Amino acid sequence: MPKTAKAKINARIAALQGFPLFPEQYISSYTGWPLLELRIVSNGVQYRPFGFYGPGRGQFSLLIGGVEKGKIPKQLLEAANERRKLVISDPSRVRRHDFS
Amino acid sequence: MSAGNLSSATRAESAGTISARQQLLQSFRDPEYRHAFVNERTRASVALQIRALRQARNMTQAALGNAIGMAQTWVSKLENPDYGKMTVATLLRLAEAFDTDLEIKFRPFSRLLDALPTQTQEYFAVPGFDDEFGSAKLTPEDLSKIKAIEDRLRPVDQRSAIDASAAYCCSTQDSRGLILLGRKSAFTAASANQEQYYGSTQSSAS
Repeated sequence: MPKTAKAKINARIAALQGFPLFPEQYISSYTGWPLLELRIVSNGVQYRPFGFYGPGRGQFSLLIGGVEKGKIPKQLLEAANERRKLVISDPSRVRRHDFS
Repeated sequence: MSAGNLSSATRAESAGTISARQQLLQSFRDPEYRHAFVNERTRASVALQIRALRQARNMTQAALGNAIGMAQTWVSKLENPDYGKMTVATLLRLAEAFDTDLEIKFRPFSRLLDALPTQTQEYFAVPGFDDEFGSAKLTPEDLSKIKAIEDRLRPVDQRSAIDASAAYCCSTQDSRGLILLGRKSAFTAASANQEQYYGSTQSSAS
């Protein structure tokens, strides 16, 4: 990933981290899946990290990232959903976001 | 959660915060990264704060637009982190609508690193003037507070002898700065009764 895109995603996460619920301009639900996506555009590429609110109160967990325009491959969404189930059943698997 | 668990959780949180700061500092060594970070962080923070202030004042985007002479669609853009083209003039109009001060300043990266990992929702909240100071006329208590601030700012050699004496006497009674200043201003305000106050403080100090 280009470093400017990485910086932009990290800055967006840093700005949002104090909010228990992210404003709708920053996040949207992905139809048909219990997942939410952040949409961050950098140099014409749309980065789409997927996550969900949880497992703990006031937490948001990032699960997987996509860059596709339009429809996201089902395989990626299934992987994200599997991870979601995994961290819900075992919250100890959650790690703090790494800003490096 | 027991006190012990809470304590260890707090320690873990603290360690996490330090870790995030270290990670960011390492990344900031790269100028391209840190400038991209500042670019995005500024846009996102301004947009987030505009939205937070509007909601705290129970305003719709249309109402805010009306207050600043813009269409609702423009307010929506101002709250969009990907827009980022607001001018100082627009920000000043927003400050007027929110009845707040506006501070735009450059700062070192150390300040950014300090603020970021602990940035909570309260970071974006700003009370309006009336919420902060009240809309009523100044009460004697307000005047006393203002006098205390003025006294604090005035050079010591310009203070009257009775002020200095009162401050000394009060400081022997109470070491808390605010109370000290409040009492000192009370001495100043009550100039008609200087003798009485002077006498009473002397007796208190003795």
